[in-house]
Parts: sequence; structure tokens; C-alpha cells
Amino acid sequence: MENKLTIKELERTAWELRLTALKMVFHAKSGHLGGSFSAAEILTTLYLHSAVLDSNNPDWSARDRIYISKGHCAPIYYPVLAKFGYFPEEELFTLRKMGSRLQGHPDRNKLPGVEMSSGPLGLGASVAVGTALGLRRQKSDSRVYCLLGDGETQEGIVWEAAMTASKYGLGNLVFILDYNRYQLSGSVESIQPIEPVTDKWKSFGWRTVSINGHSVREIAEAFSIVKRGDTVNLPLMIIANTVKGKGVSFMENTSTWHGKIPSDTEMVLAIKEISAHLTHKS
Amino acid sequence: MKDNNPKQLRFTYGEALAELGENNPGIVVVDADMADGTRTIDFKRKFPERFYDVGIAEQNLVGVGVGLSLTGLIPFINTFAWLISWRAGDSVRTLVAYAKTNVKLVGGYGGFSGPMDGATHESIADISVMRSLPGLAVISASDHEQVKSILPVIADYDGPVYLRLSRAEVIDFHDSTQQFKLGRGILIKDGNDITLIGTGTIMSRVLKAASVLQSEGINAAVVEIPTIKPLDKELIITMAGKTGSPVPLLPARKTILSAVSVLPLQKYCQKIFPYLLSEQAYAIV
Repeated sequence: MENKLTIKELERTAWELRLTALKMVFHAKSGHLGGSFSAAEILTTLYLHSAVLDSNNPDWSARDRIYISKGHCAPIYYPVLAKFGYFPEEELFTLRKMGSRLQGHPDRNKLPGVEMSSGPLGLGASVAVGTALGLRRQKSDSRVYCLLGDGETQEGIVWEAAMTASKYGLGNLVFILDYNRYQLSGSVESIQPIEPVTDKWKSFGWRTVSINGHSVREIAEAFSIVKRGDTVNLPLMIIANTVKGKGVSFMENTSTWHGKIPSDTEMVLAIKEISAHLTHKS
Repeated sequence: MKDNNPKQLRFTYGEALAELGENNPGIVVVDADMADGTRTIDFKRKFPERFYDVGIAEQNLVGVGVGLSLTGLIPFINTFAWLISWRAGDSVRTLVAYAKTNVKLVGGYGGFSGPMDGATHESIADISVMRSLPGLAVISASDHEQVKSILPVIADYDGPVYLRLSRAEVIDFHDSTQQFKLGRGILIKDGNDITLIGTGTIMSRVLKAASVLQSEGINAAVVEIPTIKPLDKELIITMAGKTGSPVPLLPARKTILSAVSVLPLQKYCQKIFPYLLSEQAYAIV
């Protein structure tokens, strides 16, 4: 499909896919909703607007590369991939089933569009850096994107990768921090603070931009900073300020819904709240 | 040609890697501040634009190498054997073995070959760790001629490989006509009475053991297993049928024992490996 949706279409699509993610996790009785909902607009905008990709040719050599290092956001990642056309949407409800291509955490050898298997946190950062190096070596215009969780940046490998990216001046590399401020067992601030985020990344030799991670317009603008074939030599970190569990009032701003499954009653409420956005925006 | 002057295996690796880079422009090398030790410095001098040093960061070393491979390049990823199997363990498991990426992991200073740096710097478990990972080919090089023969083969092989090297001084017993074949064992010396099995730099001592046995009137066959995984089961079983009990020698002993335990032929193998269960195996080692 054509991946250039309008801002309005992207906004609506992000809510539709949030609803799909909710239903998938409820059906699977397992999965991570909080960090999926926080990343809905980021991934929708990236795949359906900003990145250069071909759903009919997932291995097209000139494509931009997208790594989802926070692999536990599979419940929103998969619907975005299916919406883009990498595989049939009917397959989404096989999430976490034995034999399914939709594993609990993404597997590159099973599902088209998945550039790299992920789950163990931090590894995607390093792979993205290596890919950006390799593409530059081969004089490719392609860009490399990598989505990281905020708690994920507590992993040491992220900072190893950050140093390598600035050492080699990887201007074709874009990290996106899903800064929803909560991790599995509490707030990031209480578990292991990562502030000052902007200063940290700047001091590691990165450009930074801070945006509202639920504003499709701001996300698209941030993605437009790095053009294909850019000759700048600084990697870019987009700090996307988001809300964990965005869209369902009782799931927002808490670690409780990192990996919890809604009860039947909660499910009814959650569907109602997300659907309200679809009614308003249609 | 055989080189009869003892030389550390790593020097031949460095020279052979630089030569490989000349023949194959897709080869890139990643190191973690060990280029002097791993000898990737030869490649670095020749092809500085194809050499990446990530500093003292082994998890990232493997991740960066994997990223390079995803753009079609063929990365040789280098550090010490214990660092690549332990510190970088999750990167190797997740990004290399599970993800089936086309990278060549190379562990230097394998086994007890380091310069007496102490227990932390000896690599006694890298083979066990690497062999446990699905889809990862595990190779242990025995001498200079074999190292030279291995590199182009694994560069052409489309899949993940772990190559164990050594800092030990080694004298060639292979000559330049030998051709390394992935997954194939080598019958170095035929014999009728017993089969000695080894892998890696211990092979020259296995051959010595065979000549000692010869002087005692025992005609020992010697089998080299350069590819620990996938294992050449057919050769081992053939030799067991011919000579009776094979005697895997350290480090092959542990490796072969754990490898055969997962064979569907387990029952048969228990029959053909009685030495593994007896003190005699230790006595011979």
C-alpha cells in the first residue's frame, strides 16, 4: 500500500491500531499493552508516512531500516506491519499462539517486515549502529531508525552503541526514545533515573529533539529532520514524550499495565474509551 | 608448505584475514580494542576503511557486526574467546544464533593458551557455550595451514560461525594441500587397534600420543574434528566400528561426550564410548 497517509488519517489509524492491539492481547491473554499504547503514533507515522519502504518487497535494498529494540511492544508493532501490508491482518489474532509467526517478541525469521528479532533490551541499538555503518560504507541513501524504551536505556549496551554512533558520525541514524516514564515495576525515576536525558545524549555526541510523542504532526516533523542521503555527521535522538497506556484512562501513567491483561469489565471500558477517539475524529 | 618453526596461530590468522580481505571486498572486520592480540591489526593496516573498532564493549561489538551483516557485508567479529562467549553471550545468542545472521565470530586465546593471565583470562568454556546455541557452526582450528584453509570457507558459508583460535605456538602437521570442509572430520592417520579423536591445537600432541602407542605395538588411528558442530558422526561411528572404543582427548573428550548424548544413536554411542565412563580415558589424556 501507499505509505503516505495524511496527518488526519495517521491520527485515526493510530487509534484503530491501538484498538486492534487491545483486542489481540485480550485474545492472547498475554502481552504488553502499556508500552504498546505509548508507541502507537510513533510507529504509525514511521511506517505509514515517513519511512521509505515497500511492503511487496520487504528486502528491497534501498529501503529505510526500522529496528524495534523494545520488542515487547509487539502488540502495536504487528498491527502496524499488517496495516502497511507485510502480512494479512487476519493473522494478527494468532499472537503468542504456538506455531504463529507472531511470537511474543518479534522474530525476523518468521514475519516479513521484522528487520531484527528483539526482546532482550538494548540489542537493537547496537544493530542499528552497525547497519548505519554498513549502509554508509556502501554509499546507500537509506536511513536507519531504532525505537527504544526509556527503561531500556538503563542497559549498558545502549550507551556503548551511542558512543560508536558518534565516533563514526552516523548522520543516517535516528533513535526514537518512547519516553513514557514507566517500566515494569515502577516509574523510571524510582527504579533507576535516566535524567537528564537530553544532556546525556548531547554529551554522547548526538543531536536531540524533544517532541510530544502522541502528536502525529510533531513526530512527522522530527522524522523529516534526517533526509535520505544527508551528509550531516551527527546521529539524531528524538525524545518522544509519551504516556504509558495512552488512550485508556485506568492504564495511563502507571506501571501496573506494563504486562497486565484486562478483565472482561475492564475490556468493555477500554474498548469504549479508545472507540470514542474514532468517533470524534471520523 | 609446512611451517616447522613454532608460531602462534593468531599470527597466521591475522595474515590470512588480510589476504582474504584482498580477495573479497565484502569482508569487514570488527574488533574491541584487541587488534594487537587478535592480530586483526594486519587487516586494519591494509584496509582501514573496512575495519571498525568499538572499543572495550563486547556486547556492542557483536551487535555492530550483526548490523553490518544485515547490509550484505561479511563481518569477522573478533575478541578473546572468553569475552565473546560470556560478556557478549546474549548478543551472540539473540542476534547471531537465534536470528541466523551471516557473521563470523572469532575467539582468540582459546583454551589455556593465554600468557598466564590468570583464571579469568583462560577460555575453558567457549566451546561448551557456543555449541549449545542452535544453528551456530563451531570450528576449532589446529594449525596454520588449516587456519588459512578455514577462512575462505567460512566467508563463503551463508550462516553464523564461531571459530576458535589459540595463542599457543603450533607446528604445522597439515600441508597446503589439505582442504577444510565444514562439518567434515579428517582421518589423519589410519590404524586398527584404537581411534584417538581430537580437535584444535591439541592435535599435534594427539599425533605424538599415537607414535608413543606405535612404539608400544599399538596401531592407533587419529581423527581430527575441526568442526565441532555440526559433528561428523559418520566418521566417528565408522572408526568406532573399525577399531572399537574411540578415545576423545581433551578438549574433544568433553565435547564429543556432550555431542553424542544428543544423537539419536545415543544407545549405540554408549556402547562405542566405554572409555568415557572409565578411568582409562583420563589415564591416556
